[in-house]
Amino acid sequence: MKLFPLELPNKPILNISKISRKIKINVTVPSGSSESIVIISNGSPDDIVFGILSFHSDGKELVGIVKPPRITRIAVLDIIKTYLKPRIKKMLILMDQEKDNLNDIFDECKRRLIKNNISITKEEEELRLKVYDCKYVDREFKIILVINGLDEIDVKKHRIEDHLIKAACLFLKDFKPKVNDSKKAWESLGKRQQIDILRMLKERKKRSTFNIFSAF
Amino acid sequence: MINRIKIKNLKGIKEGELDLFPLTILLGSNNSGKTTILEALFLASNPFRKVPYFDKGKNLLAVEVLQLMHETLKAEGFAFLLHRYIAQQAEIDCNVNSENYILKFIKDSGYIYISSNRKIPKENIDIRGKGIVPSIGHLSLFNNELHIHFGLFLVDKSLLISPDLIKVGYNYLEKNWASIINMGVCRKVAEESSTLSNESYKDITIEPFLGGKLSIYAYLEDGTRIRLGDLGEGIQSYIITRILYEVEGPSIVLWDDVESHFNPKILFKISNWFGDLLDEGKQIVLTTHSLEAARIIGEINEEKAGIYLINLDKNILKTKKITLEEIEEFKEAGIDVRVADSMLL
Repeated sequence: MKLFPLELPNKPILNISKISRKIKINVTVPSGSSESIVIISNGSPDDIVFGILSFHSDGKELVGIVKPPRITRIAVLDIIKTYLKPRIKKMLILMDQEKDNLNDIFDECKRRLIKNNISITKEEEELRLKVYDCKYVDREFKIILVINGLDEIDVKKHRIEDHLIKAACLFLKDFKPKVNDSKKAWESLGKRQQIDILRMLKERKKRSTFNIFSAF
Repeated sequence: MINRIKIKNLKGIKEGELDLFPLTILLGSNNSGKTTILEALFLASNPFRKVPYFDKGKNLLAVEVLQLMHETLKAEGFAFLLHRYIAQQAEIDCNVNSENYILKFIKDSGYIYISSNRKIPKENIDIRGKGIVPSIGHLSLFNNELHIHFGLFLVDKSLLISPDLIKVGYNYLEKNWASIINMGVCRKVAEESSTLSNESYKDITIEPFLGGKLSIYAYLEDGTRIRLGDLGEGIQSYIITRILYEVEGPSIVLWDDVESHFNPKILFKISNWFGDLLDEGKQIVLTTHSLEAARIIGEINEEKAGIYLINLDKNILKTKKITLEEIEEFKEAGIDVRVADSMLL
């Protein structure tokens, strides 16, 4: 999968390109056109993780990537109609679970879609992933909601860093996070170790990497 | 006012059409056809009219200005006007008050002939060179010699402004200063320009510089002078453009890359000037890569403005009218209309 920006400078594309120079994932292209986009609702390192997963997703499919500048998490659902204007038919929304219960998040997402006059014609659930078939006026489209976080990691707020900490525990000998905050634990690793972990995630087999990011 | 323009086989545009507003702002990528639309409008009124640009010892004709702008292509003659250099005919069709005025550039036997659906009275045709002049006239495909001139305007007279033309615009002012100085415009432009600078200009005049060569100067309040060429490029461009406008008195202002060299203060000044021109019934068509410029100019004149996102798809012009609110809405969603143009058009 190749990712292209819908604005420049675009934080996710710049972050992925920066990491790409170090771990050689080469998944960004300067421009493109697609009916699919990825909406990064929390920022980094969510974008970098998605870059690595894109590397493992074979094919040359082009997908746009956006990070709304002032909007985070569930609030992204309030601007979904804007994404329909460029004829987008599939949106993958990445968001952190944080302190919320998973079902509460899915319920709130559904409520927001209905509030915005978007009807849900079908929904499928798979643990941390929900696929909504939606309709707005005469436009039919799909929203795929992915909630980052791992129940097995004992933290107050579940984030994408839960997955990275799981990877760190697997790849680094004697690594035991001291704090019950995966973000702080990830940051405590230092740049070099972070890059080593990201490189290993890239170099592992596709299935092994996706196992760590089980939400996908 | 030109309400609509249709273009066929002109430069990079194989086919395209666009509704025009009193103020039309064209946003698009590089090589999206923006400049070609301006050039079509510039040629439409009369490709052979003299325009206020001076280069290599001569006052340029409209079509020669385009040739100058495309000089880097190293093309001889005017073949660059025809799509991919091989189209048999290019066409510019302007709709004015429900009437269509068509100008054609037709290639035949190594020449490009000019033709129009409008009857040109004989007295308006001035044959300056030798050679056969069928229809209205012809341009040699192989050299730059123009054979005919006519002083009739098919549609309203326009002035093309571009960062590439500032130098030849300056040359024109220098060569024609004697007549310009008595138009009374220089003091007005000098005073207006003072609001954009940290200096206070009282007038603009021409005097000998070192070595006796004449130069255009801005007069400062304390009696000292600064050569126009030594001012910042934004101020220079603004002053030259304003004087050229007063000299030419066009009904349509065509401005390519309006943001070039200008900070938001000058853009704001230009936007207010555009407001005055629109009140006088003038038409403005401009291109920009800058959303900031589109916002500053568009917002002040919102009721009369139409903003288009444009691009070429296999040389066919694609356009989408877009509002400033939509541009903002996309920005909030992490979409820049200039970057995502291929998904929006």
